[in-house]
Order: sequence, then structure tokens, then C-alpha cells
Amino acid sequence: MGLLRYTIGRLIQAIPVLIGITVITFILANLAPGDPVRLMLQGQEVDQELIERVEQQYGLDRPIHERYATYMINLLQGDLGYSIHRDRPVTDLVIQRSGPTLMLVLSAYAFALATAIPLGILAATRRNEPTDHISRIVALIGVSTPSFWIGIMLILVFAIQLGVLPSSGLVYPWWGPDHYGYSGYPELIYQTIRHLLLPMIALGTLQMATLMRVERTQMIESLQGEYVKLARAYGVPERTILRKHAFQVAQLPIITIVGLNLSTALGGAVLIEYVFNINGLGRLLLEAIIGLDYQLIMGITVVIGTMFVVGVIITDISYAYVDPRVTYGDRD
Amino acid sequence: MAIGESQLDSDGPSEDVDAQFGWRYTFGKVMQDTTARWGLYVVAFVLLVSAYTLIDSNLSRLTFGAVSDFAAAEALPIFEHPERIPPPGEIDGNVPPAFHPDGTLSHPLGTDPDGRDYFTRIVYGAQVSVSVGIVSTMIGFVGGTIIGAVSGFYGGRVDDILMRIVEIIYAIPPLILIIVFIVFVSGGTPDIRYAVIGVGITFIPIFARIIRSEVLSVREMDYIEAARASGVKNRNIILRHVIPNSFAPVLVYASLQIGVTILVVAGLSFLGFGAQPPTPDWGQMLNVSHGYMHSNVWLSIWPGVAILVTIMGFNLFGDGLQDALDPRIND
Repeated sequence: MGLLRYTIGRLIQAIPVLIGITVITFILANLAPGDPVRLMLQGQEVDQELIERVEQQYGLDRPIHERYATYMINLLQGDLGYSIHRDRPVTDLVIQRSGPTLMLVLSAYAFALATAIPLGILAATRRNEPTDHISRIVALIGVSTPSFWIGIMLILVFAIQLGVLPSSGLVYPWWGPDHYGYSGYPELIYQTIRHLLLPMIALGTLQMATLMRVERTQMIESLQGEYVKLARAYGVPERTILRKHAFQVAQLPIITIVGLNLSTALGGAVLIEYVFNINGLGRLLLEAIIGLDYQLIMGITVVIGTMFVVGVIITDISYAYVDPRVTYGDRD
Repeated sequence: MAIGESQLDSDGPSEDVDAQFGWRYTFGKVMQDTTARWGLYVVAFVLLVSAYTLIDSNLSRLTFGAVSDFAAAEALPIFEHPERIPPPGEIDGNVPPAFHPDGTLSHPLGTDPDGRDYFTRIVYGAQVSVSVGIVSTMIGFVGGTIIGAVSGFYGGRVDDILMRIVEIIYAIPPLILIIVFIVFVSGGTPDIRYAVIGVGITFIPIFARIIRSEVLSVREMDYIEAARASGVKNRNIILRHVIPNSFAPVLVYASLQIGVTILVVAGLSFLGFGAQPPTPDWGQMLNVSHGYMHSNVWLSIWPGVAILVTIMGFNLFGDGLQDALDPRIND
């Protein structure tokens, strides 16, 4: 019951933030110097009448608060506007391109968690031994290397020099094997993984390094806890202590970091999608910018911001679910 | 930074406490730590290189060749040497680095597709990256300190409103917010200046949060009470007492943030929203080299290595500073 109430509470708290995202995006879009229609046409010769007609059509001749109100009313109905350049509703485009981005970001997290947690624990249990030093150096390099350069290096080695993995595009399993002309689902899954491997590592390395550092500190702290001392005194085997007593407590901050770092991951996805030619939201944003497609740029920003907020809420809820000590804010 | 330093020295804690928390003590602790010391060396090296490129505009002694002068002339648009630009036929593009069988010693890291000496451009890139990193961090630092201090000191409604704004800015992934900011503010013609300002503004919330949490504890201190009792204006209490005393963690954060800033600006330049050609920015060079990945592998390697080394230096130094200033980690 408490958890449900907490969930609803978190969702209600998110509403002002979501509204704020639209306000900021709207203000930014209106900061542009000059006439948006002229900017969009980028110096093409057009008569004044056409400009006025386009302005009227998109409501650009009305004051800013009126335009914002219209935008919000449409947004509540799931309408993010209309892309002039693509001649399609922004909502359609954004939904279509969200899949690849989510697939990329989630797989990067899977990679990061699968590597960071064991390595962090290993480093913590062998504190100040060579293993620890090596893992710390790896983490340091991980946080210091631009993800897009990791991507470029991976392409150079695995796609160009060795020629074993593809360097661009993704295979989307939801399109089915027939769309790609594959023999069946096993090949589809195989190809999906093959295409996903390099971008996943490129995007996941920063997350891996950050999570590994946190995991290491948390495990060290956790291993020094009173409960671990007590368990040792009772003669509980070291492996069991590690697995049951120390590990579980140490995972809680990881959940929070995963949620907060979603922000870097979603931003990094823009770079990785550019490097690997993945048709996700990031590339859509870059393409929209080239054409100065206002409504599309705003729509993508709002959607990515929403993705982040939802991600944080999901991690908050899972945190509350996992940790019995969290009081769902009742006693705050 | 200078204000805080003098403040701490003049009306900071008494001398015996100062011996434990003063700047000299901190520096000593940083130098004791091997990794932090190396970080400091790397940072110092990069700073020296960028300072050097400010003085020497053509680097002729380092690059040994006529084409290199052309490269230097192109490297920074401020220095225009049209007489040094070789005729089109003499441009020696895509020369591999010196250790390659086809390489020459006059171009230790080879040349780019336009025949410019890559080593010169990498060296010049240090200046761009470091100044961009420091200036954006300063914008975030100053803005965040003011907002965080005001927010934490006054509390109540001011705090609520400011922190909500900060939360909202936080909710849009920085890179995307910066890109959208650059595009709209510049009206579609991006420039490194917009990138610097955009990155700085985007990082204000992070700094504001850190300093606010410090201020919340500082504002309960007796000396604040004393200052208030003796009729010091709020503005002066914030500037002279609150900010200087909540300074240390933000300073550590700033040193770590420089690395992050350089990383973000490199990403922006890579996408074409930061430095524009012919500015020798590392991210922008990677953008150009992206098109030559099959023909000249080296072009993609050097700028990345330069970014990696620089950021690693700042990160090592920042980590060391954190360890030195945070007594909790010292066990």
C-alpha cells in the first residue's frame, strides 16, 4: 500500500518538472534571433505573403503565451506538433525513432552493470592489491575517454582492421526476420547482437567506469559494517558474507546512480548514434537541427527529458521497493 | 577563486586550525598522493603547452617545415600569413606519422587531408580545449555559487523557486540542452563561444546544489549569527562569510568538472556545434577525421589520445584534491 502511494506521489511530483521541461524548451526555441520562418527557409527567396501564410498556419503571429498554451493543449493530446521538413507529425517520428535509442541505452546499461558490479566487488575485496589498482586505472580511463572516440576506435579495430563486426546501423528485432531476409529468429537475434555490440560498449564504458567506482567504495564501506563483523564472528563463510550481507546493502546507491546517469547516457546516445549511423532520437535531433525544424527539435527535447524523468522515477520506486528502510516519504 | 583565497586567509579560522585545512596543507597532501601528483604534472604540462601556443604563433622550431608554417597560420585565424600558404600543388595531405615507413620526420604525427601538420594542430588544440574547459567551468562555478548561496542562505520561498528551476534544468540531459541552446541562440550558425556559454549555464545547477547543501550548514554557524547581530547586511554576509566558508567542496568539484567540460565540448565540436574549422579543436579534428577512417587511421587516433590524457590529468588531480580535502576518505 505504502509503495503504491509512494509511486503515485512521485508521479505527481514529476508533473511540475515535466511542465518545466516544456517551458524551457519553448523559451529556448523563442530565443532564436530573427524570424523563424525565414530561418527555416535559410535564405531562400520567398515572397512576404508566403511567409505570412506559414506564420499564420503555425500560429507564429500570435503572442508567446498564447502559442505556449496551444502547444500544451496539443501536447496533452499527444500531439507534439508538425515537422515541416518531413511533412509528418512529430509524434509519429519521435515514436518511430525512440525504439533504437532505448535499445541502445538499455543495452549499454546492461553491459555496464554486468561488468561494473563484478569488477567493483573484486576491487573491494582485494583492496590495494594489483587487481584493485588495475580496476581503478580502467575506471579512470573509462571516465576520461570521450564515448564517441571509443566508438571510433572500436570501428577502426573491429570493423575496419579485423572486419568482424559491422560499423553502422542496428538490426531491430521487432521488425522480424523477413524484413532483413534472415532465415529465422536465431539469425535475427544473432545479427541484432552483432550490430549492437560496438555501440553498446562505446556508450556503456563511461557508465561502467562510474558504476565500478561507486560499487567499489560501497562494497568497502559495506564490508566494514558492524553486521559484517558480527557475521564473521559467528563464523559465517566469507563467500556468504560477501553475497548476502555486504552485497545487498551496497547495491542501493547503484540504483540511484543508474537513474541519475541516464541523463549522460541519453546525451551520449546522440554522439554514439552519429558515429554508428543509428537512426535513433539523437540522429533525428541532429537532422532536425540541420533543417532548423523547430517543432521537431522541441518535440525531441521534451521526449528525451521525459524519458529521463520517467527513468529516475522508475529507479526511485525500485529503490523504495528494494530497501525496506525507505519510508516512502511518509515521515519526512 | 582569488576572493575566496584571501577571505580564508584574512578572517578564516585561527592559525593552528589553518595548519590542518589551509591551502598550503592541502597542496602538501595532494603532492603526497602519487596519482594526484601525476595528475598535477599532466595538468601543468597541458597548461604550459597551451600557454606556449599563445606566445609562439607558428611553432617553427617544433615542426621543422615550410608546410608547418602554413599549418600554424591556419591553426589560429588571428594570425594570418597568406604568403606562407603553399600553392595547391605542394599540399602534402594525409602523410602518415614519422614511425610509419612512408612518414617523414618533418611531420612527426603526419599531416591532415589539407596538408597541415597534425602535431602542430594537436598542440594548438590544447589551448582551445583548456581555455574552453576553464571558462565554461568558471561560468558554472560563479553562477552556481551565487544561486546556491542565495538559495541556501535565505531558504523559504526563494530557495523553493530557485531549486525548482535548477531541478528542471537538471531534467534535460546536458548535451541535448546545450545543443538546443546553441542552435536556437546562434540562429543556426554555431560557434565555440555559444558552446562555452551553453555548457557553463548548463552546469550552474550542479554547482548550485553542492554549494547550497554546504551553505545550509554554514548558515547555522555562530559567526553568521554574530555578523547578523552586529548589523552586517545579508549581501555582505553571503559574500564575506557564507561563500568563503562553503568553498572547499565546490572547488574540488570544479577541478573535476573541468575534465567533464572538456569532454562535453569535445563532443559538441565533434558534432559540429562547437569549434568551427579551421580552429584546431580536438573534437572538431575528430569530426573531420571521421571521413578518413579507411584511408588515414592516424587522424582519428591522435586527437582522442590528447583528449584522454588531458581529461585524465584533471580527473587525477581532482580526485587527489578530494582525498586531501575530505577527511572521511583518509582512513
